[in-house]
Amino acid sequence: MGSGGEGGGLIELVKAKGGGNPLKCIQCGSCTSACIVNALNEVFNPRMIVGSIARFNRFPNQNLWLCSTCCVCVDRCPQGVNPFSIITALRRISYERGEAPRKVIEMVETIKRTGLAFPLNEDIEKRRRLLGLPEIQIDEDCLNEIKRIIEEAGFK
Amino acid sequence: MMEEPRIGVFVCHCGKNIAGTVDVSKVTEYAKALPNVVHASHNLYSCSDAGQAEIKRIIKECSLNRVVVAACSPKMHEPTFRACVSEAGLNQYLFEMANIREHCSWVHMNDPEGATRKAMDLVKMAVAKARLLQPLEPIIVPVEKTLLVIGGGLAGMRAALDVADSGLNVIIVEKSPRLGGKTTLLGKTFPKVDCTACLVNEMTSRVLTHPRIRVLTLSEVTSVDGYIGNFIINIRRRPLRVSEKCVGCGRCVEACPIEVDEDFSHGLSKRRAIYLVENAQSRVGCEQGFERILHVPGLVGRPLNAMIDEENCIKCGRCVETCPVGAIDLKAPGIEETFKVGGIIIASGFDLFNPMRKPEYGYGRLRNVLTSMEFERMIAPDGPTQGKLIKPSDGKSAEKIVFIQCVGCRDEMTNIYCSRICCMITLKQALLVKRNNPNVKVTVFYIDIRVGGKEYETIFKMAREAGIRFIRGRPDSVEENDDKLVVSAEDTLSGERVEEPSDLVVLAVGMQPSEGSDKLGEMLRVPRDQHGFFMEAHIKLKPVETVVNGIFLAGSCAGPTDIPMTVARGHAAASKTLALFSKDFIELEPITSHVDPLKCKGCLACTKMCPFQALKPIEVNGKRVIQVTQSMCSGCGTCVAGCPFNALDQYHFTDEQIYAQIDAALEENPGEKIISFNCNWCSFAGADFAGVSRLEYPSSVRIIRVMCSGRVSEKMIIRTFEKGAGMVLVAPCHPADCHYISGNEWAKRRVESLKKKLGKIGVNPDRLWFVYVSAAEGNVYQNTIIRMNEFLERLKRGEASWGVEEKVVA
Repeated sequence: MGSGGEGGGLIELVKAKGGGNPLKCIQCGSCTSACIVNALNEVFNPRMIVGSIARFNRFPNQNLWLCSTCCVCVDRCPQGVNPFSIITALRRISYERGEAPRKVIEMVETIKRTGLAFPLNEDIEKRRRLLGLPEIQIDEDCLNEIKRIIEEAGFK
Repeated sequence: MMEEPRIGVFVCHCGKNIAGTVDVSKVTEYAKALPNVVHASHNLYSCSDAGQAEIKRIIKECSLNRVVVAACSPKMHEPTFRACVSEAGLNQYLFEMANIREHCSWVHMNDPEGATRKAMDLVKMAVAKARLLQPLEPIIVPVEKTLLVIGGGLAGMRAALDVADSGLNVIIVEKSPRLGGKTTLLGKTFPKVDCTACLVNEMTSRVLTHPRIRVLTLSEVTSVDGYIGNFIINIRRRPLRVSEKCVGCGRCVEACPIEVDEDFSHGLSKRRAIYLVENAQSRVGCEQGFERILHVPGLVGRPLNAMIDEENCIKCGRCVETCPVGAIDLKAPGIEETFKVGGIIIASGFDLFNPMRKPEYGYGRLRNVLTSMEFERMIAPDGPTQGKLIKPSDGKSAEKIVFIQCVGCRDEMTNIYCSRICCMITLKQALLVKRNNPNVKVTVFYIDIRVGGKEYETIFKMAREAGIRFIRGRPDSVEENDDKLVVSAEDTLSGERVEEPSDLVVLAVGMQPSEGSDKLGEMLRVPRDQHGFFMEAHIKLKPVETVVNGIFLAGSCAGPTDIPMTVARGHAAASKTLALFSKDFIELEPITSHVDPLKCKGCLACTKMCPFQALKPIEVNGKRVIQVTQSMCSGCGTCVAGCPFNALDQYHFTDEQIYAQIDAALEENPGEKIISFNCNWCSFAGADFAGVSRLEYPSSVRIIRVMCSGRVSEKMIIRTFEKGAGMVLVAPCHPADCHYISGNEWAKRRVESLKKKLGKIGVNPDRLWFVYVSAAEGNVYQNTIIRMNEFLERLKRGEASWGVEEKVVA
């Protein structure tokens, strides 16, 4: 095991969270080459994210939330690794550990509370009024449905 | 009527190997009391000269007509003792062996009592089978000493020459109009960067002028029948539109209105639908009365001949009108021919990967993206640009070239394997570019540079020293920007993005099975591997043999090869053929299946189980029955186990003989025993390997050897349980490893279906196990028996159910 590894668990955890098998990776860099986020900001590197888990069993030291989920990496990968799913699995792990960015946590709370992905705050209300848009009404039935989905998916 | 069996039992000490654990005197005394045993003795080494002399002496003295030796594995010394008894005048199939070393003393070293009890059982089982043995004669078939080579490339020519030089006849069938295969398209070859013409032309010319080789170009095999030594081959020859009268003047070419791209020219050069090839087209009489028509492109100094491209010719007839010698006949018919051959070499080669399947690299969309073969033609002095590096889009010279490796290789969406030669091809091409155009910049994008061959690493070093830039990263796309191509990749060694501008992009495409391999394989009954390449009988020990006797593999039809390995495989296939042809007759093991026509109902269930097509229906007195072609039967017994009417049986592994072994094994304390059905090739050998490795396991197991797990019928397993066996194991080869192609699949099917039925006869299905064991997996066999024995102990303690009613869900 590489230094700073998390013991035997991380790869299994990623698999369990639907990430597929990171050990298939041959570090060819097709994913990074195809990554539109990497093209703008080289700090985000999907190959290194996969390599960090596959080679060192280490939680990647990168901002997982930069991934735009465009999935071109999945399309280009010659080994059937799914960097997008791995990143998504890592996001889940990160959220469960309470390590997700504040904005993400806020968004989750908003969805749970209102069923909407964007927070209903004063700024947005004001802008909507300026644009002449009606006030947002929360449909209780829809909200209950969303709450049920969240509950049944086992999301906490 | 069979004579009364008089059996002699010889128990071997094998020094201390057996006698150190097993009480051999006790086993001998036990054997003496068995029915039909008229002699039993033990000696230090049965296989020694003295031991064998003793066996021969006693055969004569006691008028033995059956012999059992209890010693090591039959895989070790069965041939020795068969020869020994046959020297004493006994038929060699009246011999049976009990394996009390690998399967007993070596694996129960700390359980001498259990080992002795087991050895007694194993002797009893062997005696029970011996009592029912019948004399058999090997099947003798003549050998037709003519070889068929399918494919006239490098491997096929090499093999053909070796066999023909040894004085035997060879027929080469080649699909294309010319010999030489893909090799002739190459300008230079690695690692010595020598010229291809020098390598191939001499060989081609020798093949074409060899008095014992008949070359059939534009021909394909359409059907194959028969068996080793006696194959019947049908070949379809496409019509030869231009006769030997052609003088190569070229007037027909000028008259032809159809223009098409030359092969691998990337559209940079054209030819007509009738075109001149540098070939010799002549008829040569051979020693054996063969008449040949020759087509040889690329032979320097040979006369030119016209050739019609059937695919593109519109049959307008202008060439016919123009020809001054009347050599062209557009209505000439194709020919069907039949040959009898004794052996077949498959040398059908490979196809290049079509990069249109990786659209992100732009091949077919971007004019300046080429395959490595097209680039090879471009840098060849006789290629479409006479070796000049140009951009196909505008004809201007190319200043910058990018190579992309692993196109269609190491890729789950295309071919997962590595083609082995593409790295070297790129290094060679890049070096040739640098040698002839030092100012051209060359960049290679790679995942790993794999150059493991004699002198190969030197080329990699030369390439680096020549200033070729290597970037470790697999590009994700090639795009066009102004008049440049841009290759995007991550340099994985620095983590930086690279956007490499280039004039030409060369895609190093991999190798894949040639088109038609599947069809050919089905005709020849030779299986293909998971990628579609022809499968060797054993990847290490039998690299050019196939599971079909008399059919061999040469060159890249069995997987990617470079030129040295292609030639080596050609030689190897020829040497296997010559060994076959060194005899006038060959002996086949007579352990085949046979049919009782009175019981056969002609249901044809067995024909589906036979991968060798040894079973064919015939009409007898208006009734459809199965007939077994003995020489085509490989002796797995899968059909025997699958016959719903018990109409089939297998010589030397008869139902009666196997039942006798089961009954003998279970005569005493059956509930404490595990009966293990092991296939000769994998799990029996795997159990031997456990013995050789001294891997201990409980002595409760009794192994019954069958040639293939496909021989184990549902009835056999039911009988084993009926006789009270505690547990039953069926141990086949791993999937796809079966020596009889699919016997293990049938075994799996039967065990799965039986497991569902066992409950009805009051047997807990968990008492029947099915575990794959290869010849190398002694530890797997050991662990399986340990685990089965644990279950058996639980059964005995009442913790697990014998029957199905109170089955506890684990």
